[in-house]
Amino acid sequence: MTTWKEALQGKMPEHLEREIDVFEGQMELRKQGKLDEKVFAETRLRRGAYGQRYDNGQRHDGIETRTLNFPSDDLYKGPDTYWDAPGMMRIKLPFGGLSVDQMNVLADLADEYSDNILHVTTRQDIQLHYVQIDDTPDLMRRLATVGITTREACGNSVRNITACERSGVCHDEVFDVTPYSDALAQFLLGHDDVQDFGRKMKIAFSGCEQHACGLVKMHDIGFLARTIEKDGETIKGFMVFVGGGLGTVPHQAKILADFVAEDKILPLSQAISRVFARLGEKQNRNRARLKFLVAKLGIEEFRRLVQEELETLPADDAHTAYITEDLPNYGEEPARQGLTLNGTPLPDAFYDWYRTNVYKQKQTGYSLVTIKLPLGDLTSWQMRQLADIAEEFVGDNVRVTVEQNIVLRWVSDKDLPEVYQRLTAIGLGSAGADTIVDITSCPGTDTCKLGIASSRGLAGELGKRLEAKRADLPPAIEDLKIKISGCFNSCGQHHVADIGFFGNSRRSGNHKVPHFQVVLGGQWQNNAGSYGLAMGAVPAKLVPDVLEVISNTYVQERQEDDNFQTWVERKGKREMKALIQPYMDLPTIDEKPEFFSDWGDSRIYSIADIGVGECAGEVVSLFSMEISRAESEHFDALIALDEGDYELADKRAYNAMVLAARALVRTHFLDVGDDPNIIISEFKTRFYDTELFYDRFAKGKFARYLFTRHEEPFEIVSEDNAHQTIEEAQLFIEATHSAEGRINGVITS
Amino acid sequence: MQAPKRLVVKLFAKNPEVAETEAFVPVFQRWIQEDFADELLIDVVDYKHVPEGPGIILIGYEGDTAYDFVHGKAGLQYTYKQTNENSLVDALTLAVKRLLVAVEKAEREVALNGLEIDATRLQIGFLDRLNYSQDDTVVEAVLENLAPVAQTLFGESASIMVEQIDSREPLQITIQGDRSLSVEILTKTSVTT
Repeated sequence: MTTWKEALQGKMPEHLEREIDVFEGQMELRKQGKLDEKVFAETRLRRGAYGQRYDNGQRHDGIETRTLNFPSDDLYKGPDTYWDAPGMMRIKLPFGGLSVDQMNVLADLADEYSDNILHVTTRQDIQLHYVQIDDTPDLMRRLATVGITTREACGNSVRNITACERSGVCHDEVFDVTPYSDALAQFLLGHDDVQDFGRKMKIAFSGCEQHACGLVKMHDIGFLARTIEKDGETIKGFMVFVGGGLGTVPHQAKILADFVAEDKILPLSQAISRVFARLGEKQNRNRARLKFLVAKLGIEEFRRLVQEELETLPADDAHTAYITEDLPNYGEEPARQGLTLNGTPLPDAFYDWYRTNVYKQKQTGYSLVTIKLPLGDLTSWQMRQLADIAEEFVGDNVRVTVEQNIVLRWVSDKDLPEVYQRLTAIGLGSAGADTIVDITSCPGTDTCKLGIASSRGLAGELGKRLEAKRADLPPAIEDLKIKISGCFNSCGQHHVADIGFFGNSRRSGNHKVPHFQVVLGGQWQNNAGSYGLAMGAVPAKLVPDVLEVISNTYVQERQEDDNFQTWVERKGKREMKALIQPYMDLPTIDEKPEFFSDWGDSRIYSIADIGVGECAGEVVSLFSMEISRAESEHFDALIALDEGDYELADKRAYNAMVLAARALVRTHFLDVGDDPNIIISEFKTRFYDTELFYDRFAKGKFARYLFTRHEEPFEIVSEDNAHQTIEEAQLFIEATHSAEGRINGVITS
Repeated sequence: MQAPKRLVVKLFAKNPEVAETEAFVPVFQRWIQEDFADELLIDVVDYKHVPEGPGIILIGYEGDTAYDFVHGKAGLQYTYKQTNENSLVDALTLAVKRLLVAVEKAEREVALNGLEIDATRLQIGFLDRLNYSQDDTVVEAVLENLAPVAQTLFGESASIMVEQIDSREPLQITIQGDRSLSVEILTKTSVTT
């Protein structure tokens, strides 16, 4: 039979064809045992082929943990990762851009290699799940024929470069950032200076400051469009941010430069990359993002180092190759003439959809249409039909968005009713895009190896309930953002939501209960202008009730000029916490067995095979009491931060970590006392050095937060420092909960 | 004729209105616990939020079993992902057998509220555009290979239809029989290549 390699020979860009052949060769070497599994894992990741839940060959089926006997036996594609275990393929789409041909190929790949679903991510990627590693070279070849590479979609590399989906059509933008984001993506792809990072790097472009746009303030490098007047001439350029990021400990980016001219952004990015590669952490992955380097050096020193690097950077024609005569005229070609809607007969429900899903472009007669994808998913058939709609009405002017949707740009206003009808006919005509019913979620426990709770299950449930009453929702809450992550790693971007949730768990008796931390007051607008703070964890099954009480109270109490952030700020954390406090108590499994399973998962955790120790009940009770002290102290730290007392906030957050460590130590050593030096020493000896505190993925990361703060307290505590200690304390407390469960006999994980 | 890279077989629900889609989640999760299949089962995926989508999928290593809604038609489906057999007929026979085992088990599930599957009409999709395109020569060869199988399994008057679909979709064929296919019939019947 014919192979794709034979069929597509000469139909791909030469360099992509060669790269894919090399990757296939590396797969063969790995199979023969001639390539180390760790080396192959990084190679694989840099080709976009990612691991997926259960690829370690273990799965808890609701009764017991069972071994999944993959046929590959002892062949691994990375540490603890079976070769034959299905994985995820991440497909990079710079600035989210998609052409009709690309949509058709992606659809084919979804039904031939995946589960018939294309998933749009919060980084304007598309992911395919349950893909076999042996299929990936052919999958890459087929993508290459339409100009897509998966290179550096994962791994310690420059991830997909994102940009606002409204670039070029937005009323408020300074200028269209699309050609710049594309030029930087092409320049850095496979560049020598981005191959030696300790962790990934994320870059974004925004055309304006006030909207969410490219969310530049939460990126490693962010470019915000600016112009200046010089000698009577308008010069395009960017304000440049560095060191932002969400992850476990969110950092707001710092301003590296107020203005960098358009022809200098590539060398600047290269210089930043060189500094990051040279001085960024390599050993400790948990401190290896650029944000930690910027925080450690301080922005002034970092700026000086970048400037120094810039001055010694070798000349490279590629730095300005994209600055051509045509650049000022960069733009997309609409497929149809822009004509007004007036007089066109309108179908039912059109107005509702028009109000929420249609954005009038700055170009007269054209609109941008947002297609609301449930949980970021669409089928291969839908993608193919959408490709037809795109071809007919907008051509290649399609983009995926960081809110997990797809937009059609340059829709002639006259065509809107027909586009609406066509989208509705393929199940993609739902109203409510970018409103409270359009919930963002990471994959969570569905497919992610790190997921703690079912973010998609929760998003689906909340979406269903909100959708059912959408027509009656108070206008004040319609535009609230809800974003959900399955763990503390923030892939669902919960920090920048009005109401965010991230998955964790709590113990009740001998079982764990899936929970979500409630994070309130983050800001999506102003390029992710501020981050929300965790208020407390509630059982997953009570999140819908918690959402209702928060939104109802907001509607009742808001003043005329309030938005959600100002209301949260005015109300204060004490009162906000009091709102959710009634939902934080844990029932026993006998009282409410439904709390002991997650959304979309029927399995109730069983105690049938646990060996409960003689003192287990008492130990649990003692730990619960102790850890609650830590949580109270952490909350007081939040209050102090709110009140601007950063020194106190930092101190309380540190105390919270010491108390949590003490709670764990006391399960083994009751008389540890109150001296932090002794507590930390005992904690280190008993739980850190023995690796009992380690979890499979974070290892000892969260314990090191405590050690670092204990050994190297800040000399002067800034707001950022206090914020950091509070975030770290939150994670340390969560890790202590998890460790206690593992060590003292919880049967489920 | 060598098997396609992937093969999907589907039998349609007679009374889809009786069963809640989400009821398949606990059912499939229990099937994993019971280790019911003769292949490695991995997980359950819920896509009920996607209109006319793959519904609820029981992911396996060799194949996926799903309560599927593609093109708005509910039914049980088996996607054979690792067609290690040498021939199309062998691969098809194995896929159909696994589907029928799932059908018979599903029809006994109390939680599915009397869901019945029509086993007289089998839809076959060839998820291999490279070697199983919709070209006439390919279609002819496929029909030639499948005609005897259709008659053996579904009776002498069984008919085979090539679905008239978008040329970008995978080749799709439907066999309409005059009797219901079952695991028992399949086991007793000798299907050869």
